Amino acid sequence: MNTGTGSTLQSGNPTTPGSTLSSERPTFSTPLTGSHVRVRRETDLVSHPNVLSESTRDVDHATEATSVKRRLASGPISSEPTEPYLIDGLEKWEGIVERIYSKQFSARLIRTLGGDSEELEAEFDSSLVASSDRDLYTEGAIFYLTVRTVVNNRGNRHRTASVAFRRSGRWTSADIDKIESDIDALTRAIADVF
Amino acid sequence: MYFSDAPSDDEVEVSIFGPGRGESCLIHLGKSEWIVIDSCKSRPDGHVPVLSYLDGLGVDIQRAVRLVVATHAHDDHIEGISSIFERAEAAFFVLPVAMSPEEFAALVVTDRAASLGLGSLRRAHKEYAKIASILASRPSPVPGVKAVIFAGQGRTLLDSANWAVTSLSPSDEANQRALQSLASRLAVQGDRIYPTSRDPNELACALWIEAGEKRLLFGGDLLAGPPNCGWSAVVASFRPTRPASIFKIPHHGSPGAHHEDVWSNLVSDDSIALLTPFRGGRRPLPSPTDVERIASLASAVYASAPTRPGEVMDVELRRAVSAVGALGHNVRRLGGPCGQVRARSRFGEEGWRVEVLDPALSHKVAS
Repeated sequence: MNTGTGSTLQSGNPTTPGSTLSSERPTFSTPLTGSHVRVRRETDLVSHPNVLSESTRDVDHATEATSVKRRLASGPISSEPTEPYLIDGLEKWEGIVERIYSKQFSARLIRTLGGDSEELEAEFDSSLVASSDRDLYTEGAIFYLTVRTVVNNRGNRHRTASVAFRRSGRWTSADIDKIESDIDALTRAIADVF
Repeated sequence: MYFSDAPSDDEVEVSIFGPGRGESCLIHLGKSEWIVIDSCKSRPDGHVPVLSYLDGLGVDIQRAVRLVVATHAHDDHIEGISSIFERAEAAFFVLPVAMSPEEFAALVVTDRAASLGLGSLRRAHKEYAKIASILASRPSPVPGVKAVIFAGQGRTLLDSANWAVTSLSPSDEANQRALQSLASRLAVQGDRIYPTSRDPNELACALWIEAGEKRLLFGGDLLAGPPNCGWSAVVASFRPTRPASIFKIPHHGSPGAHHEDVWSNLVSDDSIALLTPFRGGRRPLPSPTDVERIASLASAVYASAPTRPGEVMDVELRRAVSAVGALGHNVRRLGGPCGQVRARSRFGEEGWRVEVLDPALSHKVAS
């Protein structure tokens, strides 16, 4: 099940009057609250069939995109804000770890929600990888980057960002049977020219 | 978009294309016979430059392309290669690893199964999967001859009366390593599903091409080692009678792909070096030091695109930088428009006429 714990960061929007956080480069904050895990469960479910079978909820990105401006009864999704709030913006990227350095990793990213799907690349500090995700942290690993803009009832805007690695399932006997069957079929199809 | 005048029948042409991340080489061997080494896509529209260029020249791709080579399965070398092979119906396909149909099928099927539900970023071998489907749907270009050819050390892949294409790598040891790596990727019940890994660079295929009196060396991503692999293995076993006058520099000019004996034994003193940059990672290639090193060894150096382009911060990129930049550094686009470097020389002619098309550039021009 894709409920991998991750890392969350929040920053104020320096252009917004009353912003409560510094406009300096945001700082990384841990540990996570239970509500972080809840949010991540909503946003990072994986569509691998093995995983879906165990998942509590599939994600319909289109539905979620149209419903992000919903008022929630209570917070928090992070340590700030603690009051009722609106999610005013939501962007999601799927990333793949390309190269791991001593203190950073580089990744390719493609936006899956909230804008163009053009591919980007960026570097991230390896400290963003939660200890519970360390076993997943390898070149080729998939992660999800979610950025939310949140407005509290006083009009203060906050941006929260989180990284969670995809926690895939395990190969089942049904997977293996299907793979073996597909291998046999493809082998027969290409044997004459290969 | 690209040069539009076709070469004459007695003219050899080498073109390299690259958007800053990815590369493709196209060689005209004379008499409208072409081979393609690797593939890339131009950004942002995603066209395959080799196909656009050949279409622009009016070349009959279906018949004129004789060989499509995948030097190794890295996305910056094989992105879009299946679309070239699909149209090149008379072409053989060259794979860097000598594997059985079962092994190839296992690679493709496992990669697909491990990537189910993931977006376009995943699938280390999705181009191979498309190649498999094309292979399954059409006969070999020559009846009775397999359509897939395996590269290997000192193996002639294809030849005719006036030209020959020989692979210089991978060595037997590199091939063995690749098969061991493949075995480790296979699905085992109860194991966690990890994405399939990419081919190691020592597996990359380097090519030696002879066309008339011309000699050309294409380095792929081949690194100097490890022992019994890479350029160390090539220079230990291959000594041409005539050196190459064109050298497509391996692995984007990185120091790890540099081997002094390649320059002294395989490449002429007045060679032309062709570079394709790689903008991925923290240290884009080639660095200024890499370019200096190569310029000290070649008479001229050209690149398909600059290593560090001036990025245009349009609205979309600014927005992405603002959002991803909350956690990430150095947010950038993956590649840009494709440049072209084209070198031509007639049979019997000394030297090459080289032209560049923006954003390609010359680092050093022959004096």
